[in-house]
Amino acid sequence: MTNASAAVLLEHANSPYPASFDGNGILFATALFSVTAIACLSSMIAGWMARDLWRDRFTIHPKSPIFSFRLIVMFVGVVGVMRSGPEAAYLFLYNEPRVTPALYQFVLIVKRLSDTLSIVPVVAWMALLTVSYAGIVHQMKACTYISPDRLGPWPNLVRPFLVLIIVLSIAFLVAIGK
Amino acid sequence: MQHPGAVIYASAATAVTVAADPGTIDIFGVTVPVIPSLVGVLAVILVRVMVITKSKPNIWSYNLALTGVCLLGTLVTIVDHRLGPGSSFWVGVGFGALGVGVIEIAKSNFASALRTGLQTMFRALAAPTDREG
Repeated sequence: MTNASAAVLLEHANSPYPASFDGNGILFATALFSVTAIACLSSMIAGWMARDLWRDRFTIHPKSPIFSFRLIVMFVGVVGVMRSGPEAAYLFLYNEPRVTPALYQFVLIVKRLSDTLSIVPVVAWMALLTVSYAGIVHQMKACTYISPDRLGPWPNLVRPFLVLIIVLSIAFLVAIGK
Repeated sequence: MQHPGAVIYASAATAVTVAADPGTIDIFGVTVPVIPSLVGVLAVILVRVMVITKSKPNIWSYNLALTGVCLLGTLVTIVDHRLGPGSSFWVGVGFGALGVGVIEIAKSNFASALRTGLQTMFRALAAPTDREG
């Protein structure tokens, strides 16, 4: 470790937040909100797509553009979970009173592994998009116009909005409580 | 010489002062940490909002009852282990996920088959046989 990095770590030795936040609770809360919300919403999207893929496994052929589209969106969700989930766990468990060093080490190992392995779903969704782009666009052009719901898109956004509000409250409470 | 009662009173007063923490409240003598408890409750609600079971209307009563049990388990764990706010979040997520798992198992074909099988068994056991009377 260089003298400069050691000096930065020593300067923030008494801070309840990681050194990158410069002891600022607002920065910590907003970062925690961001990574937790991304992880939650991504897991919702990935679960939604996985459920639909499984439900239609006998009726939708794997070469169909619908199958490709759902798989692409599912992989995008998986990337969000892999990148943000372990980061959220690291931030939540940082400087906690009852967390053992072994558990913290485990979280760091998972974070390192997921940082490395997240290349797999990224390459997968990009490859799938490249391969099936023409088919998806063709299918979308062939689709007849569907009249929108009378209430608009808002009823479908209630749950994600609730998730955002709850995660925001949790992030600020954790930042205050640390 | 100081009166023994005064000594006991002084030590008790000291103990109360030491135990009192601005981040806690006493409910029936149980010291409850406010922020970790709020975080745990919100984490349970977060998981239940993320995974809402869409099924027949009476599933809401099961949903509410199980969410209440999950909240109780979360609060007891947080108070018992004196957890911090970050750990409380994961405890809440764990209990919320447990509730979701129980509801999904209850909705599954396995649970239906188990229920039908048990009903058949109890009916067969309750039915009168030739040996009776």
